[in-house]
Amino acid sequence: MKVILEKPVIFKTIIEILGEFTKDVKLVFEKEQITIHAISTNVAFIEFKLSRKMFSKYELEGEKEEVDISLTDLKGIVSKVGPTDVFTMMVKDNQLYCVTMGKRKKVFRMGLLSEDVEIKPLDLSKFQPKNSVTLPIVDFNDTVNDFDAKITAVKIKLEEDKLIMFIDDADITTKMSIEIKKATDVKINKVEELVACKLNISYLKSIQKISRIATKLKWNLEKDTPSIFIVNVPDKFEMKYLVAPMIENE
Amino acid sequence: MKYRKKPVVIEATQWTGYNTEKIEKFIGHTLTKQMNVINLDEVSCLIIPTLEGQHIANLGDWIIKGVKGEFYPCKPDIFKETYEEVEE
Repeated sequence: MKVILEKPVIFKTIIEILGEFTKDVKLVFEKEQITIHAISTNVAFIEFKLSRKMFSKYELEGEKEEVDISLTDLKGIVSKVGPTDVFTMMVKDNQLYCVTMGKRKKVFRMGLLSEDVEIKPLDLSKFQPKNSVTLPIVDFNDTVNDFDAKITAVKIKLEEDKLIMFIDDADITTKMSIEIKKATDVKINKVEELVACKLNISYLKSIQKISRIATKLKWNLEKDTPSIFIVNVPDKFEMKYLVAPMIENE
Repeated sequence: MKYRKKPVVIEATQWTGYNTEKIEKFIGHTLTKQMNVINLDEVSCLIIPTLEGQHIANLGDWIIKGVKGEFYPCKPDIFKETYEEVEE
């Protein structure tokens, strides 16, 4: 397998986001895309698909190649890749070679993991939250950042004309709410009468870096169902991110 | 100077994943539960309101009632090192 990226910023960002979730990862190289799955403490699941069209060279030995590697090590390597560097990955003799070509040439070599990294992909089709809001990622990031670092969970309510994120827990002294109103760049599709859920805010912070490589986020939500965050840049990449809700009373 | 912690008797219950109701009864109110993304019928962790804000209790953690009636989670290895059962 040998693949070359002329613009490695998307791959680099994906690896950095995944690095928040897991230590080891399986890269699945297929004819049209690379797929990567990761799961975090059984609360969040992430799927990235990076299009073959992103690569200036994309050579596989067969229909499909699986590469199990230490994500911690790969994250360390991509951190040394500059935005204009050409980044090459090649598997040879059970080793992954990574080469960056910019002002300087850097060569890295890491052993593939001997044990198979097993991440069972979730059947995403079984989760179909009925309501959605599409918004600029920068608005999503700003809203999440406005909540105090000590806050564990945030409640979400979707109304006809606005998305509301708030905290009103009895044990928290400062209650707070932030509204994002429907606008030309904020679209709301509400089907349910009452759309409310509660999510662990640290899992919302985990995907903020996606703003480096995309501008729009679609958030599907429904009461007591995992929220699904979708970022899709046609011909480049797609991210689907599921976060299980918190339940207050049963 | 050196100091030794005074011996205190506390009440505690371990969260096994199957005794959420018992934990809620111990604390005195219902808790926020984090659902599992793979199996939505399972609870991944509990949110425990403590004097220092909301803390997460994972499977196997002990929930301790402190000397002032406050509650907080404690990792099982720390609990084992710090406490022993008192004969009643």
